[in-house]
Amino acid sequence: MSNELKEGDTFPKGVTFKHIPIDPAALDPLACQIPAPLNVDQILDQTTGNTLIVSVPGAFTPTCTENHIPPILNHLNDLKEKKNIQSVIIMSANDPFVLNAWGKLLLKESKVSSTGPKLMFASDGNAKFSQENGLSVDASANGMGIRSARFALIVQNGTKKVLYLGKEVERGVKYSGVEAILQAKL
Amino acid sequence: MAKSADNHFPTDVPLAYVPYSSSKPEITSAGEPKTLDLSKELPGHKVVITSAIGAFTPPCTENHIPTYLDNVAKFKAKGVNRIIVLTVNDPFVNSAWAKALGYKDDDNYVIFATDPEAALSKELGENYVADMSKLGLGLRSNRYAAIVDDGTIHYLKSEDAGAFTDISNANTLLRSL
Repeated sequence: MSNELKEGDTFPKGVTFKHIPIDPAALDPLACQIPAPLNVDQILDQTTGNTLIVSVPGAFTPTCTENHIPPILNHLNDLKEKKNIQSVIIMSANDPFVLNAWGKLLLKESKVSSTGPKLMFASDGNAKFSQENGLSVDASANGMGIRSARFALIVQNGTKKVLYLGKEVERGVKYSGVEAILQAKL
Repeated sequence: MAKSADNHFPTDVPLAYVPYSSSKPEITSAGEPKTLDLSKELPGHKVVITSAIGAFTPPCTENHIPTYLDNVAKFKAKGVNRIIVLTVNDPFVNSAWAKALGYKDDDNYVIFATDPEAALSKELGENYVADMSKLGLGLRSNRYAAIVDDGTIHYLKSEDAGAFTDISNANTLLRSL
């Protein structure tokens, strides 16, 4: 059953994504690595500040690649200083290999400092988490199946409360971009 | 072998791809997807089709597709009009993958196309798809290769569970042409 996740809710337990950890010193998108589970409970427990999850319908699609994710990557230190965001998970329903390659290519083009929040690129396989929480979109008409919607979500450390949830309702980046996140009242 | 009694390669599944354009050479910039209609592409042409489990997945990135990209001139010399690389990934991912592999040619002799939900590969037979749901990768097109001349299948073989052997190596197809 799908429950629509809302601000003020507790972030669901047991969410698992898959990812290939990215070493900023090795950004070859064609390198072969094996995906590992990303236990979100563990990330939330280990993060001393807030955790930001940013979801896109597809890696390498024009909107997210050009307008959505790069501005977030270029403002990671602002997000840390102003919103106490210590972990960032960039997520989509693409598989972990695709996310890994995309993440590496984006990082090559971004100014990400080593003092910023912990950064992960993770796969919501079959859009399971997104579908269970009212955060998916049906892109079947474009031959892309069920995808995670474009949204940004901030989870408070300790309480695991959803402090901010900005989901796009039409094409574009209005509620889930870096400006909306920096202006969010937490 | 495909089930089709007259040995024709199926053409009823519209594929999708983003053509390479030198106006968008960066891997992270994508153009608009187009439809690839095999019912128009295959008649009167010699076409090589090869499928991989997925963009950016091991080992197809390192070994399989480069055998085709490295041999474009030889395929052209053998009269092949087009090479089509298939995966179930969406056209944006395939487009990025093609560029990451170094294929940046405005003539789009090699097209990296999406087999939507492996619908085309399913028609070729059960060995032409690979269920990788347990790995969170869903249903994939298996690794396979085909030579289709004027719509008729001249070579069509699939690998065992996504392996990469001579079956789908470009050099095997070049010898069969």
